[in-house]
Amino acid sequence: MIFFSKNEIIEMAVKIEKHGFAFYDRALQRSDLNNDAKKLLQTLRDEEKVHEQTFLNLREKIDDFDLNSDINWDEARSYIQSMVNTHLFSKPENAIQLATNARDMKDLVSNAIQFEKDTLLFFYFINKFVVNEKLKKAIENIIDEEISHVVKLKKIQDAL
Amino acid sequence: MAEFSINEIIELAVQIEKKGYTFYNKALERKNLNSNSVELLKKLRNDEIVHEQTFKRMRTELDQEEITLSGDWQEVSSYLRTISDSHIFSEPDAAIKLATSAEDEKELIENAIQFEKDTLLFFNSIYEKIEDRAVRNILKKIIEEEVLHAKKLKNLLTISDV
Repeated sequence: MIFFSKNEIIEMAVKIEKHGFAFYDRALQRSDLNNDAKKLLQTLRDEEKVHEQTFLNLREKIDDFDLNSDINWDEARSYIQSMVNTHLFSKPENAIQLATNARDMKDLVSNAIQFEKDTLLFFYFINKFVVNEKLKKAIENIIDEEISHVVKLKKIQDAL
Repeated sequence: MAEFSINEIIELAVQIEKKGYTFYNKALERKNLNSNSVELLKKLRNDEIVHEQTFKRMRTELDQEEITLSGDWQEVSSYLRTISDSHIFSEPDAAIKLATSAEDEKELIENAIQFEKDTLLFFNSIYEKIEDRAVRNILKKIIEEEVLHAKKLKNLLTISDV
């Protein structure tokens, strides 16, 4: 049976947050943003940074990683891997490309929504397989924040 | 914003499965699909029908009054609405359009993956917010099947290099 190590799971989460930061940061360099969008993208960029830091801190704090014992880890690994592989920003260059090549603001915001949705899906799955209380709590908080990102982005999109 | 009732949520789930069926059915009318794709698309199409029926049964068999919703249901409703509105097939005819106008097989499969992922997100979001054991068990099974769909589609993309 193959197990995920603590590092692997946290590393995947860190990467996703890093790519999110890169996307929002690059998006903010565009000249076609309205004020509302700019303000929101700044908030989201900063929050991705905080999330990344949260995971990095957890790596230091959690010595032993309690993983759910009654699950099939082969299956879990392959679920999570599939979610990572099909994540919109699975490669770092994708995030940058999707920020720079978006045709217009509408396209940009819809890429951002897709990123947040893919990220949510990833965290929902991770959360199912983790029993460590600290990590679970952190993931649940981040899920709630990513949910509010999606809702805010959708509002901007609807107003365009 | 108005809160969702259980009945409305089930209806959304039924609609998603219906659109999935329409997408796969339409996709199968395309020429030049490789045989692995045809086989998988057929299987997925048939699974969507079964899922649709499962949700319809849920509507008739479960006592909706008895289902416990999470305390922050109003907030949850607004989130579920957003997820459902930003689903790849949310616009009328989107499923048909994305099946017929995909440039090539790769784009078609990518659309299918997006459909499965958007659907997974919707079901996962409901799963997290409904405490009723019967509903959660049904959702869990459907989620597992949709994950398998996404995985198989992704394999198709990797292995057959379509």
